[in-house]
Amino acid sequence: MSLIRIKATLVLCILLLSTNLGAAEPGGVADGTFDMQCGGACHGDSDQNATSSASLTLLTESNIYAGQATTFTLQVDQLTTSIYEPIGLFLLSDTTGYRDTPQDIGWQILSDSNGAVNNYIEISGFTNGDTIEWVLRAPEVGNYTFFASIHHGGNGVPHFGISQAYSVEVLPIPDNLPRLSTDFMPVVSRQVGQQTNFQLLVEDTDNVTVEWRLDGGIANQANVTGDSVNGFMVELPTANQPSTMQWRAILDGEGPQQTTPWFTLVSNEQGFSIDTTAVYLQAISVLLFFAGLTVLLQTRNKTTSNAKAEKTFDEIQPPVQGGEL
Amino acid sequence: MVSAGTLHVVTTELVVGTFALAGLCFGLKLLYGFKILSNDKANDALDSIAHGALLFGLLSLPFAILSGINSANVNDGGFMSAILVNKLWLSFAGFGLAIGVLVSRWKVGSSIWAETKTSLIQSSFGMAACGAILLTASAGGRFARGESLLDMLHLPYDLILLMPIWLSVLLLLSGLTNLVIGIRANSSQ
Repeated sequence: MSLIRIKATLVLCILLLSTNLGAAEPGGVADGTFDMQCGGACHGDSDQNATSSASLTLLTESNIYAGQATTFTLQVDQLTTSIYEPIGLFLLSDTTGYRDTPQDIGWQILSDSNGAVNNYIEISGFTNGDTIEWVLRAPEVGNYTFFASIHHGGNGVPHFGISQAYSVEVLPIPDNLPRLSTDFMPVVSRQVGQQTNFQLLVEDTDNVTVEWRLDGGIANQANVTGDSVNGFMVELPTANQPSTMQWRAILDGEGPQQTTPWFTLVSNEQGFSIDTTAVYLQAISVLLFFAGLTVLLQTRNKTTSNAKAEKTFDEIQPPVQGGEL
Repeated sequence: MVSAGTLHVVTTELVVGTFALAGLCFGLKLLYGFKILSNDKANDALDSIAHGALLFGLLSLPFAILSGINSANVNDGGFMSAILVNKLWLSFAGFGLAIGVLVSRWKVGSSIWAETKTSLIQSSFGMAACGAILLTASAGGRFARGESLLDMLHLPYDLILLMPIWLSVLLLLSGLTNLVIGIRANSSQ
């Protein structure tokens, strides 16, 4: 075997041996709507996965009326102290890794703990016994199964864990039940300093009381105006710093009193904003500028070299002696 | 239906791979330009590989840019991060450099390597195109995962140099003029 082949083989061996030094997505992939294991894109080889020590407990009502909101609370215990951060937590409808989000079986996520509507949440600083929540709107009548799953790194391998199955039965709505309208979508995020006003869309409801609290603190009453004919307007107080507020509505009517789940409203600092047109225009300008510059520089050099070549040709021509030919 | 995010991963891998190969070949061509390397056979092969890889990367680049814009929901909520803006500009800069390099090679022909000056310009701009795309990829890693291989350079991804509209238009017109002059001059010779 020639020396070059030995060298090439050695390089390939080194490359192959060094593949386990890296960890996939060590900084996380950010919150989103994902199938289990991100569809297998990151940790495709299940042989390379390790089992997480974490214990997952999913708490929710076993019966819920069709079209109504309910809370799914996920409690995580037995986290190891050396756990890799952040950890990723899933709410899933099955464990196939394909079309297994709650949305895939007709459920609608109304809010999550991070102020969005994702089934996958990444959290840092999570300790034993901590919980996160999703508020979901139930679909049609039927029986549904849910799972929770955890992803995190550690010791150079991806760790993965899944909870047992939890069943939820969706029941038909009783007559005259005070309830949220199926068209109602709660606001889940806002900017610091911004007041939140919204119309609470309800059905079969004569009176509404809204309570709010900060990070699981004492509940306060929000200002609610209007009536069942003109609609109920809710006003939630302004947040002076980045924080998480929760609110819920207590609905009274002919039927039994109903209390909605705690909806999460996250207040963030003002986000980044820029004139999109100016950005695109500058991008196209930069493209044409660099393309033009490159082509023009080569043209200049070619012209110069041609001129030199012509001059050299003239220099080697012997001058015509004796005047005209 | 494949999501824009997944499509972006696939297309960026194509772009980064091909541009990295092209950049490596242009780097070696630069060494030939400085007479550090002198194998004629490899020298000719590097020319074909560099421009072939660059062309393939250039064909994949629009898909990578469009899928990136879609996966970041720029059309709905605008640019939500300075890194995204810098990614767009860097990718367009790499796009422009790659077009310039390929057009130059097409119009001038293999004689572009005949002179030291043209050879150095071609190699340098080819490597610059590769550098712009690798920086774009690094910014993508920083945006998606919070870290990238080039973090050791402490690059100011959060800093934006947005030009006024009139300056962008001026730059666009000058670029367009240069491009037209360059192509026409090369065609007429």
